Amino acid sequence: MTLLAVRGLTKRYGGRVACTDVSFEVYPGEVLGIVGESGSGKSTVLQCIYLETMADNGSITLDGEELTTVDAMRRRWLRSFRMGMVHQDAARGLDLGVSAGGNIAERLLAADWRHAGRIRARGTELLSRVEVAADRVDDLASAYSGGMRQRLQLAKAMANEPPLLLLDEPTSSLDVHVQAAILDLVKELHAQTGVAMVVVSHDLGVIRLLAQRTLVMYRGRVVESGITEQVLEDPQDAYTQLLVASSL
Amino acid sequence: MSDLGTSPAGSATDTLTVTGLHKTFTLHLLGGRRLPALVDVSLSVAPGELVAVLGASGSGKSTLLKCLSRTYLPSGGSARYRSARYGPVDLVSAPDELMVALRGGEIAVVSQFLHAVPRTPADLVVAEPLLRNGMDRTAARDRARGLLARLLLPEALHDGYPSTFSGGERQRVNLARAMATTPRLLLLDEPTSALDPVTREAAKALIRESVAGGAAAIGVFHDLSTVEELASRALLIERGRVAAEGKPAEIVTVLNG
Repeated sequence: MTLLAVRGLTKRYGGRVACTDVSFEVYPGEVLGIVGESGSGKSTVLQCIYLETMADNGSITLDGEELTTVDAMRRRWLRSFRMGMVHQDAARGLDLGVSAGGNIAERLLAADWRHAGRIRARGTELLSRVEVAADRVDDLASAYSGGMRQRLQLAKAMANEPPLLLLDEPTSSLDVHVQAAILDLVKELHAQTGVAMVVVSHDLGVIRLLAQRTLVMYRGRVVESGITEQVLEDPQDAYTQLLVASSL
Repeated sequence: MSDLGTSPAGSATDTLTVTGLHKTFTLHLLGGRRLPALVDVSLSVAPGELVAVLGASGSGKSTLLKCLSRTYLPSGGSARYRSARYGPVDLVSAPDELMVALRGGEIAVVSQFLHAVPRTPADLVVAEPLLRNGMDRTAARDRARGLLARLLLPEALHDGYPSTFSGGERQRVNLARAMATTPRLLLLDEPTSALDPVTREAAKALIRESVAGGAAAIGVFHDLSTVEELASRALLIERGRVAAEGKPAEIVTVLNG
């Protein structure tokens, strides 16, 4: 039973290859890590899955549905109901000029929620799940700190309970103690909801904490994949051996 | 040598049958140097049996256990495990996701060192595999605390963070977590090395009970009296090969001689 299947994914920006011939599966409820240095193509893979950018070649199926050929309307629906995304840069995932509650309401409106009182109650409930106090619901997203913005992105991404959550360097721009709190929250959300996740990070600590299986990308290619513990303890590829030796 | 050579396939009722397992590390950072750690290991373990693995340090004992849990990727050979849920599985070549599923329930790994998950209380570390298998939160936490109590971990530490624990306390958390899901195959790498004599007895009792209940176990113990008490058979490993096999007392004598 496969939730997400990526086959032969290739994306070029002009003459530069961002990722090439990337293939992997994600099973329901699992957390898959993708690790690699900046420029390795790992974020491009997530952007292709989330349909922020179109793949040049290859296939991406979510519950059997081919994503690379959907129209704009279907894409909007998929992003509301079938997958959520948390960006490293919150400005890409949030409307910073709108209140926290308003950011979440946008997703609920897409799900045909029409009653203002109920939308507000649901927004407050979602925010409390990510430990944002009820009295911050009406504050503009721009007034939120970095860690709070990531919490808000998580609440928004999970608003319609999608089976797949994509996280692109979710803690890389945060202070260490805030990173820890956000990672704990991601673990807790996974334990509570069983949502499958793809977590992209350059930080092996994040991958070790969250992912059961891990892919290693280097120069646009998947050079290695395995159980996270095996990738960290017995890396096979020359690049992964260097990565592990450098970080531990 | 061993009688295993005559029946490498083991018996049909064995939980695990390892045949010709080998592992060579390739160190790319050292110019591709190759390091053979396991050369040729065959063994079998039946339900209700604990097989002790003895040998000098560096002989390949831990590598053997880590190859069976796929913490290391074996270079070749086979390790046929009879899964309750998935039928016969070759642990050498099983897909990663299947290994993740097995390690989350049927196969328990107790390593010498616990990589403590930060900011997670001990009882939750132990309960986590149960929660993942769908047990309700209260029941999972109760079972976790029961196991920690059996291993004589003071109640005041049950909601403490293992990252702040002593080596012996962490080791008990580690063992409790491994036992939580009532595993069918135990891979024990010095599970009692950091324990004082009293808690070591408690740990041995837990292991003995699990094996008596039908689990198959492979264990590395630095303490030879533990080997003689717990194991029904023992293997001596030298330079990545099985050098001898027999009753624990015999192999201990070979090792000391």
